[in-house]
Amino acid sequence: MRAWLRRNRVALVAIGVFAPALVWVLYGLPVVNQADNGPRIVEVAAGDTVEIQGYEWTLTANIEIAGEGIPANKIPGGDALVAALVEVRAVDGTPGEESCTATLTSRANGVERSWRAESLPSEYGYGLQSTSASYCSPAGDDFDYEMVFLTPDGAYETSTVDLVMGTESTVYRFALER
Amino acid sequence: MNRLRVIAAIAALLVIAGLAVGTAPTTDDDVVAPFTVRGGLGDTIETRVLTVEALDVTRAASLDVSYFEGLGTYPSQLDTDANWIVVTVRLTATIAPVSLSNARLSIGDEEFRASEFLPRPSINDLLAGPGIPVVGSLAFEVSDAALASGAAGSAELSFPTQFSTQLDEIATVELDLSDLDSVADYRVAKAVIVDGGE
Repeated sequence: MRAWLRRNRVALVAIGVFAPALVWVLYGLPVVNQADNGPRIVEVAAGDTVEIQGYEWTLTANIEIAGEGIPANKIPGGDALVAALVEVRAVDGTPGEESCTATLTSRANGVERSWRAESLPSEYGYGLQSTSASYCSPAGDDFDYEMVFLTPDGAYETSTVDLVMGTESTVYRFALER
Repeated sequence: MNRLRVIAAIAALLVIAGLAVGTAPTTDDDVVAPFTVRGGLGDTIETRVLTVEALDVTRAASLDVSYFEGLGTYPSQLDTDANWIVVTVRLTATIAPVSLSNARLSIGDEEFRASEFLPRPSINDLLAGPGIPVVGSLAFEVSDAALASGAAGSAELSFPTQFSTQLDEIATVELDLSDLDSVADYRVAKAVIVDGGE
């Protein structure tokens, strides 16, 4: 046995080196590359402020309104309306003017599901504050961005508000105040 | 005795291998074919990305689409020299909004795409988020010959949600279109989000 090992030690060392390397190249590397290609997530704790493109963004309020049926409160039964208010304040310098998209994203039971902000929340009986905008279009000034999402019941509990600026790959993930 | 066992084992292996080869898919299409989840009118059909319930099917010569809500004008009537088959469905996306642009009605070897002429808000435009049910209509312009054929009794309305259906699940509603009386004018309702989210 020892003689056999001695005769074949070069081949055994080569197998010991190249077999794991091959496994890494075939299976490990694609996983690492895929992870690198994913979006960068910036977590923003409830009440915290994050600076993005020359503005300070703070999620200051959020609410869930349960659906009682369309005849009752215009929100379908089994669904809920989730609203969130983000205060956007220009800071010194040259604020950008890139618009952003917002989604409410839930991660219940390991499944990620997203809902887009409604363009006409009044259809569900929701009135925006008079000082708020329902679209995210920074123009150099302060503004309040009020988002409204129609979701199934229960989504609110596991959701965050995710903002993406223009075509950036970074996701700013705002935790909701509960 | 041992030799007999070896021969028997080899014979058994050959039989198993023969069965495996004989029953193996013959083309790549068979290997990656979609999984069809079937149901009838009124059944709830659940796939990976979509829950479908066909509520009603109607044959009509003309469609009243005066529900149009949008900028500009739109004809309130859609006529055809053939037949309109209108299927009212309740759809719920399960993970993300889905496209219905690949929905099709199959009668025998003939396939009919859902009409793109239904005005907004049609079920194609109502991109509700996951877990939120939507009720609306799909309209298909179908020839007399297709409805008169023997295959009309076993028509299929299927909902591929993407162009490539390989290994995906496809909800398919089995419909009997052979005995439908044709109405002169059918009023199509606009698509709406309805109660009963998950």
